[in-house]
Amino acid sequence: MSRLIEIQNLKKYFKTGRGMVHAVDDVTFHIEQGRTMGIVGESGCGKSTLGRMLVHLEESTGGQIIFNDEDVTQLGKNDMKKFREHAQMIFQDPYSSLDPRYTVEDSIKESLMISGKYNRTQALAKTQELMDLVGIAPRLRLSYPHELDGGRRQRVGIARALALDPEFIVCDEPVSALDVSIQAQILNLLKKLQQEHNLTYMFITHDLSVVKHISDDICVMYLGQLVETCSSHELFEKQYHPYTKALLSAIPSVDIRRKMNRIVLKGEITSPIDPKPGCRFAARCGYACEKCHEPQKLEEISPNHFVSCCRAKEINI
Amino acid sequence: MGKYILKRILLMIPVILGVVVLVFTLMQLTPGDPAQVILGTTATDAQIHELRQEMGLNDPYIVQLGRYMYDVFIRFDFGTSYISNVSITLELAQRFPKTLIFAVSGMILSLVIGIPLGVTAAVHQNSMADYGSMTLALIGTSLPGFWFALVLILFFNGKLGWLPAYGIGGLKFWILPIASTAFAGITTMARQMRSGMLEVIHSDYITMAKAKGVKKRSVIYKHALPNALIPVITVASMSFGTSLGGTLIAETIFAIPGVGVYIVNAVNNRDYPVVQGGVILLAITFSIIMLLTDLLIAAVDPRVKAQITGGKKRGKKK
Repeated sequence: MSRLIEIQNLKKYFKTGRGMVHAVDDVTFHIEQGRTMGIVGESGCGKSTLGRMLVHLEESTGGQIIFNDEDVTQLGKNDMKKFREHAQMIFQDPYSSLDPRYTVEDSIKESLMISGKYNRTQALAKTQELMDLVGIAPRLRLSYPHELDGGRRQRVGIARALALDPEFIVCDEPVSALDVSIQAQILNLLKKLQQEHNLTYMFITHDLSVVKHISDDICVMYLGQLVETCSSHELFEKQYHPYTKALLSAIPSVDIRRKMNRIVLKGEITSPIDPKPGCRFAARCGYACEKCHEPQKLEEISPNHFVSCCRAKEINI
Repeated sequence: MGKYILKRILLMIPVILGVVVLVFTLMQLTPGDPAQVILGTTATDAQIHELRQEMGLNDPYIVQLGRYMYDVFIRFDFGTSYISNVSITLELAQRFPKTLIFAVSGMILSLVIGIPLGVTAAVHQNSMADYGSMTLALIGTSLPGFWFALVLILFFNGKLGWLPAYGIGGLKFWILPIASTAFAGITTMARQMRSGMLEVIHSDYITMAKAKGVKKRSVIYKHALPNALIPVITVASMSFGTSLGGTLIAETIFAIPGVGVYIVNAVNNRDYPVVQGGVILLAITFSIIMLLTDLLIAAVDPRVKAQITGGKKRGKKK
């Protein structure tokens, strides 16, 4: 399998009145063609910022994003337009991500018209095709977003993202604003589309059951840093980083006989503003020691399983 | 749509009737005797009684109200002023166009200048252009109108001698009054537009438009501006309606015989028929403006349009 996207030492800092917020700090990983990379982490850990940088909705502060052997952080204006045809995004909130003044058809068609590859008739035909693909009834063609329910709106968002046949789609919590029954429909639709079109996804979520269902690989982020990454299957079996352990221990179980051993974190959350070098989880970590206050390196603890914790080995014996 | 307009026009009837009854009743309840006002302090009781009888002021409230409603709605006659004895309908017909010039020109200026200012400020948020126009807007909204008007007179009339200080006449006479009233309108509009625009610019569908690859200019003019204008239309038409009621300060300072001065003087003189006539005129114009505003908003916002047409016409385009 080939690497579609390779991210190297990607950084995003935001300047605020109190200092630099390190939203994404030195993140390195890659996504293979046709697979789904799940990004999990708590609110504010930088997962959405990461996603927005990958589709170039946000300029990166440093590092590289290599897409098809090309560094997209260095793209000029014209190449940018090309890049948009390859990488697209599905937004979190289908209630706010559609222009209220645009009909379903207009919203989908706009991408096609901008690309310059389609004339009006072709664009209309392609719009029909896309609506069909994501399961929006043709009669809803001229409906406005406010006339649709959340699931249908998100289908419009997906159709819009698929319009230019991209290879890579960032899904930024695409189901978190939907009812559980609709969530399943949308997730299954995304899976079906992936198989049919050989799509590569980066799936951002804080919902662990969703990520387990859809992802092939998982990155766990904490305060802008990548703490652990491996295949989805392996992560739910064996975690090495103390944060990942705590995170997964919080998944509720429907089995009443199985006792939950929830790891409850204590301590102050490290501020993302001008953080000190070293593990950002150290302040809340039960295993923290002197060495944790030095910069941590992502190390391969078992084949294709990377952890950024200096004590990963000793605490996991 | 036609049905909706008709419904709204019919709904205006009870509103205006209600206003007439309310204003008439309030005027009845306020202390002071019109006959006394007309005859002055030297009048004898007998004279006052005679005049009251003549004016029908001794009739029961309901009879007086009925008579007034008959005059206003059937004969289109607001009566005559107690003080000047001039027909109120005539007086309002003369004064209203002047107020209209004020309101319309102020409106146009504040839209034409205020909206681009606000959009520029929002698009280049935290830039010099933003700080500059917002400082100007802050000054504009905090300066008292009468003070600004006086400064204008002092400068353009007193120092430069370019423009007349007050009165009515040719185009020249209108420049200062309009400038002084429009200034506040422009700055309020700019602030409204900026905040509306900022809210829209940070919404997800703007990000989505960027992700589609829409050019920055098109994002602003095709997606952001039309959506940001919706609340601004409401605010603008409200202030337009208010300014149709007369811009009292400017009318006073520049000695322009408009509706505002007329009504305020009438209130001071207990000139009841004038106050009633003026308020009814305002109620009617305000209702019409609100109707036009709602239609305008329905035209630009499909969500409102759906409410108006009952959402039945889905599938038919515009």
